[in-house]
Amino acid sequence: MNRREYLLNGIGAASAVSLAGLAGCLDDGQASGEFPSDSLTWMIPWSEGGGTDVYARQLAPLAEDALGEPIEIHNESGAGGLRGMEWLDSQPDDGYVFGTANTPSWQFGWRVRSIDDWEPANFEPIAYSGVFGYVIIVNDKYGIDDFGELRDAYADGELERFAYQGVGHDSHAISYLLRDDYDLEWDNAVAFDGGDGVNEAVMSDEAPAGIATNTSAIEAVNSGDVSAVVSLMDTDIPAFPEIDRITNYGDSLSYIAEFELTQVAPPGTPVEVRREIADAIEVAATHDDTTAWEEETGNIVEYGDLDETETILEEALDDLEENIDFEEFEQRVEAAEE
Amino acid sequence: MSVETFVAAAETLFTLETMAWVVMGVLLGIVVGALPGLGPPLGMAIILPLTLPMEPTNAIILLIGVYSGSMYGGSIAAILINTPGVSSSAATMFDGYPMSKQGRAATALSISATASAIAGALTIVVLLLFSPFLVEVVLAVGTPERFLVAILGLAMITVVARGSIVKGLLAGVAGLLVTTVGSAPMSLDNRYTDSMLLYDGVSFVAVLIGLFAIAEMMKLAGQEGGIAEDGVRIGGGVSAGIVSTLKRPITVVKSGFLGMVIGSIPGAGATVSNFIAYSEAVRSSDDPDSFGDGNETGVVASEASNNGTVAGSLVPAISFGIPGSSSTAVLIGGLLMHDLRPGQSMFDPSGELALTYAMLLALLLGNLVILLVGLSLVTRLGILTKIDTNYIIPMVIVLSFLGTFALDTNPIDVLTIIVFGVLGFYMVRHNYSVIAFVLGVVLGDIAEQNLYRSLELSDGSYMIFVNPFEYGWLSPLLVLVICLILVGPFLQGRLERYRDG
Repeated sequence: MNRREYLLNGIGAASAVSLAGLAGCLDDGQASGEFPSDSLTWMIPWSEGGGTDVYARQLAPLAEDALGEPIEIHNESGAGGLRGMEWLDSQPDDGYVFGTANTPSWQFGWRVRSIDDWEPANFEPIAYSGVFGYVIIVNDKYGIDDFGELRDAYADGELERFAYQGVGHDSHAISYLLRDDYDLEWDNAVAFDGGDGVNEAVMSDEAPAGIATNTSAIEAVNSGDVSAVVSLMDTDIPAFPEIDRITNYGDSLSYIAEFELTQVAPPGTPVEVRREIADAIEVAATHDDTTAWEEETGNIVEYGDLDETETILEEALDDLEENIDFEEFEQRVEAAEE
Repeated sequence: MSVETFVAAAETLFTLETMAWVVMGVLLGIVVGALPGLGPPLGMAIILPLTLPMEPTNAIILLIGVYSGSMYGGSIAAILINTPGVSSSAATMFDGYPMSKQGRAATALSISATASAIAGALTIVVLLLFSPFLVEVVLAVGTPERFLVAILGLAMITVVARGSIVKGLLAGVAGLLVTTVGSAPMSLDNRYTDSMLLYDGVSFVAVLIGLFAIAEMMKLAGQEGGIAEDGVRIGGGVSAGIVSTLKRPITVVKSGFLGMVIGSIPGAGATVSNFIAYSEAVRSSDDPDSFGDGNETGVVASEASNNGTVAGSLVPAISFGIPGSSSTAVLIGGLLMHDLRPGQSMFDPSGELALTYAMLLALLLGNLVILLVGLSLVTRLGILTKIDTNYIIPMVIVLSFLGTFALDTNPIDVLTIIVFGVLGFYMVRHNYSVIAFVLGVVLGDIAEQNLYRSLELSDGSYMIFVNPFEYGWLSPLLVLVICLILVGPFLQGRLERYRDG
């Protein structure tokens, strides 16, 4: 059931809070018997139709079959994905509510926004079901094919501006990293309105190059005038098999430029029920329908089990802290504002 | 015009489901327009959250159907009970109601239906034909120009705020202040909030629902009894109305296009255009004294212009996300809610051009529905004006609250409609311009983000807005227009004094 139908069916009672709350309080079967014995809620901290949402909508029906209970997708968007995570943190820990968090994007946002009401480390791992990340797109009129040429064009002063997806966004930090550690000498980095904003800016040449996700880059490239010239991810991108890699020019950037779609549960959710959900997600992620969807859309589906997910979650924040000087980043943002 | 996309759009439209939404939208619009006190922004604001479960194309088509239908529906109350269902039909009252009193209500209503439909259809056809040129304009508009277009919209407050300019400006500034809540676009600061529920600011759709639905219902609740007073007997000939309209092709065309041009100016909606078209009809008439006593030309002019406005007001809305009127502000909310970003992609064959065409074709079809419904149900439409307020108010209030919560399941949105409902009620009561406030709320974010982005693009130089040699001519031109709008009234005053002197 997608969100539209979900709202249509119960526009007044659409609150998944109440549904989940009732599920936790009234059904004796849940406390004592098999899991699951009632419908589950899969929270997506982004709007319907977004990159994270489409994965859940592909996987949920297949996971439903495996679990034998319906899964309702609930979009709790806002605050760059953080509002949904705050919501999930407050949900019952019985396994009936879980969500997708893009690791390490949410850890980055949590750290930059100095949230102290909840901690990413307290969420319980379930599985991960996909990977996406950043590439750099460039307007074709500059005839640039790889990162080396892009770097030269900025160094020669042929190019000046570089587009990223918003102040305080991870792509903003990546812009600085590219300048500091990979010699991409842009004169001014410009914040556009999310991924669509960057795509439009590069297409209209308001900025010659910018940071896009691998999936939105497919759209931009298809509309003409734009090419994806370098991947900032470690994982191969099937849609761009020949693309240059940032690792040819320095260390991996995957600790900030590559994201696992990790499924997590509220703090305290027992491991047994999480394994049940993880198994269902595995069935969905390795299903033939999903493979066909993956090929059709260019989305990368990759399953990782509970233990692998646990390691990813544990390391995410440490890796960010190790590689990024957050205080310096904040100072730079403040300095740019002035 | 991309023929392939056009055909695809037509195919989308001519499915049973989509056609049903067009018809339902127009019918709902007629009802909402005819109920005094309700109007297009209110009708659209209530329906907006209910479109969440729908396909984007159908959702937008439903909203636009309501918009178009209510422009006609407004004339029903104006003609029958001398109360404009919507402010955009205010000028229809001048001659429509006298015609009713003379026993020619059916003629007036059929004039209204015919003039609305013809002018509405004509202006849409023109918009369809000119849409490829519109793309060029949209493509020429970059970040600095977008900032200036937003400022132009804000400058229009001085023109659209009737009555006290100071009150208009205050309302506009208050609207701008609302948009400062939330995470700042250019820093890591959270303004006026520690709660994540407000990081993205106050939802402008919730503000609109508060301002139009809740405030209007409070106003209605304050009035005693039903909204309609004693009805008028619906007499006169329907065919006489059609003939009368067809005999005035120049008035229909001129008023329709006046409406279209005025509608395309940010901030100036049908409320302005129907008065201007009416005044123009009076000015160009051989017998200006007959207006106000049931002159059919007056009804033709007013009704042709307000439906023409619909086509015009879509231009800034889908091109730049800038509202031509309160109704289009709600429409923009609908586009954004369905992940459709006003701008270039709305005209891009690989983007949303098919939706844009489908929307325009739906409007064309909607005008046909107006004509058919208007003419066939003429004698029964009076019933709409007699529905008891006590039934309308609870329905609207409940729908507003449920719909608002469904928007984003954010409890702040519910609080927002209450706060802005009360605020809107007192604003209207004390003559503060609601449209000025809406302009502030809708344009604040666009202006702030694009100002900051412009300065990043220019490395901090304000010359980006005025230097034609480096950044193109459009920006300085816009600056000039803004200056003229702002200082124009003062210059005019001085000029007149100088002449008098």
